[in-house]
Amino acid sequence: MQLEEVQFNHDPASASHDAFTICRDKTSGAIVAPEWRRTPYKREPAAYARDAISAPVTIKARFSGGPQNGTRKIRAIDANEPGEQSGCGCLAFLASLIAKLVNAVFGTIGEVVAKDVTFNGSGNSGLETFTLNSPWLGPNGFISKRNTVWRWQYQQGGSWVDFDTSDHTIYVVLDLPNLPWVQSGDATQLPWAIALDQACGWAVAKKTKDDAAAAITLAVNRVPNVTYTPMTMFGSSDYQLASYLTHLAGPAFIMNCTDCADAVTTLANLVGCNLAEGQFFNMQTKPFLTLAGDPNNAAAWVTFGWNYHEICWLNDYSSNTVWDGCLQLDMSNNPGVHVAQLPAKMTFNAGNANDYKPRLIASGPGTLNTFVRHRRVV
Amino acid sequence: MRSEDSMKAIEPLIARPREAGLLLLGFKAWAAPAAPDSELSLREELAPNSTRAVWDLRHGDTARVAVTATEHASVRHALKALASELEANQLAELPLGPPDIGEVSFVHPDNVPPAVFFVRGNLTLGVYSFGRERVDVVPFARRVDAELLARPRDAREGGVDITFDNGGLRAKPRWSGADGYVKVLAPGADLRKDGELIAGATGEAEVFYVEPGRETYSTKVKR
Repeated sequence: MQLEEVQFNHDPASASHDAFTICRDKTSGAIVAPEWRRTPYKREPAAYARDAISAPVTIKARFSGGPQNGTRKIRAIDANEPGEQSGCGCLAFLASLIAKLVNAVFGTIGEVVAKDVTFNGSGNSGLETFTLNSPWLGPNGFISKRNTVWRWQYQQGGSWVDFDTSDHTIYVVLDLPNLPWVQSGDATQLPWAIALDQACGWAVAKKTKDDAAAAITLAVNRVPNVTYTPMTMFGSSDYQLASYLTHLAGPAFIMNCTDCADAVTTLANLVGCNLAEGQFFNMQTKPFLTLAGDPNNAAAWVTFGWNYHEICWLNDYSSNTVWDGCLQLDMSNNPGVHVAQLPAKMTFNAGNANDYKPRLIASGPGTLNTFVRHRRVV
Repeated sequence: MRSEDSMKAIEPLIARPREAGLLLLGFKAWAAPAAPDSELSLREELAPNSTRAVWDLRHGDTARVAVTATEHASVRHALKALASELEANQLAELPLGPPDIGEVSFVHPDNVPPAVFFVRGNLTLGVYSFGRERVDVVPFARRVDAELLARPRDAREGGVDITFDNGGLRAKPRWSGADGYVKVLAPGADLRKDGELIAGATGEAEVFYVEPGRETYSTKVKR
């Protein structure tokens, strides 16, 4: 007996009880179920939006080589579940603990609940719906990229017999991706798996949207091989996300505030946040810590005369709440002493001296643009 | 930089009669001459008609130079596009660059990674110090500009089929590769791209097909 196919996004119109629609990259088009197929060979990732799930999550699977005109109870369990602690002593305990922790964060999404499957005269099943029992798709779920390996078993005489294994890449995000990402229409704007790799890596284990946005802001700011330049390097009309991801994996490169705002907004929204890019104009800045700067390096504290600066806003300007991956503000009131703070869920301007705007701008109006946006990804 | 500010330098050039007679079709950033002692490490198609190439200098990867090239319909369009592109530069002011680079050029001030932005023919170009180590990119920009402006040497006659169509001319290289481009030189002419047609080529024009690392071909036409 063998597994023939597995479907995760079996209802593309909904994410309430199955996976949502993604693509590999801007040119691939939507990934269509089955995401796993034996012949012809197919292995595609799937993604779940934790907060969009409102009913038991199901997958669909099909089998061959079963009992002709018979029935079998079938299930799938985590093939990589760490066993009981082997040996004794602190080291063995620690090793077992680490293995369980790694499996909890990066391991199999859950188990496929057993059900009776009927086979026809040729020993083939239909496409059967199974319930997925997953603690990581409920309220305790967090952002992760899970290497799911299932050991498929059938029941025989009261015990379970292995008959096949399957492996799946499963992303878990907090909510359905928001703009620029879509779930229908322009297939180039479906969530990209190559972007999910980056976003789920940067925000791994985060359970709330605020924490996820903060983690991505921090990651964009601390990319070790990046240097600030005032010129937009990844597009001012569309966001050249594919290029940014390429440069992240390569040697040193440069980027500006628009690039940082695009990266934070686009990747945070991919895991379910609600950020937008918005600009403000005409300012002379106070000293701030430049992109990826070392706070102990005096030369990394800089000032500029800017025509504009671009940051991320929660929903839109009315939230008065911002994230900025491009710089760290100086929160010190003592001349010669710098205290760096990455702006993450910071009040833009509510009349407090420690708000974002008064901490950044020394002079000039810092006039808000008339609109916020979500640049298309290309 | 606000376009109102950059246009103070650019506007007079748009209004001036165009006589440079240079048009480039299909030019890719990686066709620019390489920096000395460097290796081309990345080529990117950023958008239709817009490319970027990155060279790693010396032996490390902290000193890098990038060139972006975007093709427009004419030098006038390119000049206007430069002002628009510079709007994506945060700085309130950008100094004018060396007068011998491009139709007009702007540069980054000393306190940020060096960069030169200029127009040559119907192209807007950016030359950037792209790595952690700051590189003086003015000599590199000057070399790129000179290459764009120059009449290709040792071009073999023939190889580019020219047909006349609707008052313009259509240039079709007999052999073309992914990295090749067409260069039209027509001294005194106000050249522009009109779809696939080359318009404005009055008098004598030379059409070259240039592909880095391969023989260059040329055809002369007179109208």
